[in-house]
Amino acid sequence: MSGTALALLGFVAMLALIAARMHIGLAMLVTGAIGYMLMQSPYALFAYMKTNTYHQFANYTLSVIPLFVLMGAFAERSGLSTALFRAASAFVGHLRGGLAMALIFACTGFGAICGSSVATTATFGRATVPEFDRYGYDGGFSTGTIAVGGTLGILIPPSVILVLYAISTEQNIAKLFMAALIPGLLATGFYLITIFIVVRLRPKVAPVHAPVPWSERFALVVKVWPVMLVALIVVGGIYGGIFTPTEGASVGAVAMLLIGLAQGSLDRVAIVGALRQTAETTGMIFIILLGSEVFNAFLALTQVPTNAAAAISGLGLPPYLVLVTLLAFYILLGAVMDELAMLLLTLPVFFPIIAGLDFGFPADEVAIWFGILVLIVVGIGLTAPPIGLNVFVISAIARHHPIKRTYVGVLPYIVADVLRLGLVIAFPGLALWLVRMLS
Amino acid sequence: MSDTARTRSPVIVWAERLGIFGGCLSLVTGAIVTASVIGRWLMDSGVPGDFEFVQMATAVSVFFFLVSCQSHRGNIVVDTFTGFLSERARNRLDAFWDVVYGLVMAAIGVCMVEGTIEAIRSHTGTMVLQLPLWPALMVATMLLFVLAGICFWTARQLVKVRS
Repeated sequence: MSGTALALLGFVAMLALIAARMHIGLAMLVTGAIGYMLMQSPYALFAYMKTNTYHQFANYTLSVIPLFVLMGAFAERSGLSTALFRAASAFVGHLRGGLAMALIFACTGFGAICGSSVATTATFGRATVPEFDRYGYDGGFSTGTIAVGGTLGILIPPSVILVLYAISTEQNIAKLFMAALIPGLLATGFYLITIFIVVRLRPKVAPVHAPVPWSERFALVVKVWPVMLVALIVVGGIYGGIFTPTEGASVGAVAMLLIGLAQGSLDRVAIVGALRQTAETTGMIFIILLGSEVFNAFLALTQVPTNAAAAISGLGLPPYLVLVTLLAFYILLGAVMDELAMLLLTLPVFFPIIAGLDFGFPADEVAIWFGILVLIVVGIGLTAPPIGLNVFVISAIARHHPIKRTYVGVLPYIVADVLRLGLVIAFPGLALWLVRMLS
Repeated sequence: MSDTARTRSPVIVWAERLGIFGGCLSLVTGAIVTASVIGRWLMDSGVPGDFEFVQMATAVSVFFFLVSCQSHRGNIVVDTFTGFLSERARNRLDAFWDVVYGLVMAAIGVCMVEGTIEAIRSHTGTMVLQLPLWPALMVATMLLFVLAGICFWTARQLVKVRS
């Protein structure tokens, strides 16, 4: 059997196993190992697995993942989400749709500490749903906003998805974090405009309430400034080249712990909870990483990624058509598959295709720009029907609001996301300007 | 598997403790790197070989995390295409895959035993600190067998509790 046929068979077998409830990391690992064995020999597989698992996990760049997860877990357990939401709502909460706007601001701030969209959604879901309900906000509108606000956890750097993209495509994490900032802030702006339009068209979804006195507003800001300072140091330090992403994540995790202890917001139970949460999240990510490593080693042996890139380049298709097709495929796949696994599975094939096309600017910039576009479509996949992981997370928290209403609430934001995606495709400078400035 | 049944089980408690220990290891890693950054900033000298410690500690901590993650069956499963099955059938299917997961991890563990023996024989160590690699490999290997055991245990719980 040819390498291409074996690779296709491997893909089909893996998707079948995933559909049959085998967990994604294991499905990749099993099909990759069998494929590797068929391409080489059982002894070659044995030799490959002798220390490969250990060395895969001993990658210095990967150490950034548990540390960023830990930083986010400490922030979550210390009640940062509630503090941020209260501070933001003190300033804009009295406007029509103000609580939704406050949520978006708070998620943006939280996104600078936490690199996970699910964690952001869950944290803000628990903290803000009662507030939205208390002020009489429409359930679909509020839960839809929380689901979308959760994506800011990955859209605003640091972002676990970007770290995985960087590792998978051998790109510079710091440059990807720089590139993500403007599109991330653009997301915040687009979501605020969406809220403004929605409440203009349907004022009943978001009643107004009395403003908070100025003295109280500043007291609430004082509570969150140390944490926001940590975010600034971590992200600013990485941007400025003062420290590597691993060092930034280390400083952030330790600083978050110390601030939590100093403020009395992190007790023993909260710390243990954060460590346990880190264990579960990181374990889940690393088994997928191991599976994708083995599966990609098998794919590399079949030479399918290289051949696919050469074949598509040879067709002479317009580069932007190929790009838009791949992004549309990502949106469709993201609707039925976990985003993290989707990326690790497809990038070894898709990335060489994109890298082989001429977009009129250097290949390393194309790689970074593509990473940001992928990040945006991953964000869309997290909220778009029929699955949308963030929608599931919020509906599990706010069970009294039907999931269908949440999907309706999410729709205007998806329109905004697609517009933003189009903007970053049309103007790559939105992602690359800061990279060019700071590099 | 009900949460109550799980939280009462000593297996879960110990698996969680292993995960928490792995988390502590990550935190210590973070503290050492932070000390290195501060040292570099204040005295122009970081902790020597800190990146080697980070690599080793991260690798070992991940094996601890895998055990903790499986004890709660925290790995990502796509349930879109099996929604039509009864809960009992889904649990049986999950239990079957847990057994497969356990067997795969045990097989990797066997491979790693060989890798550990080779590391001992060849005195493989890190570049700067000259730390021997085999203790880390040995801990990782043992944790893979623990993970395999946890997989068989979760499979048994799935079959037992819901049947």
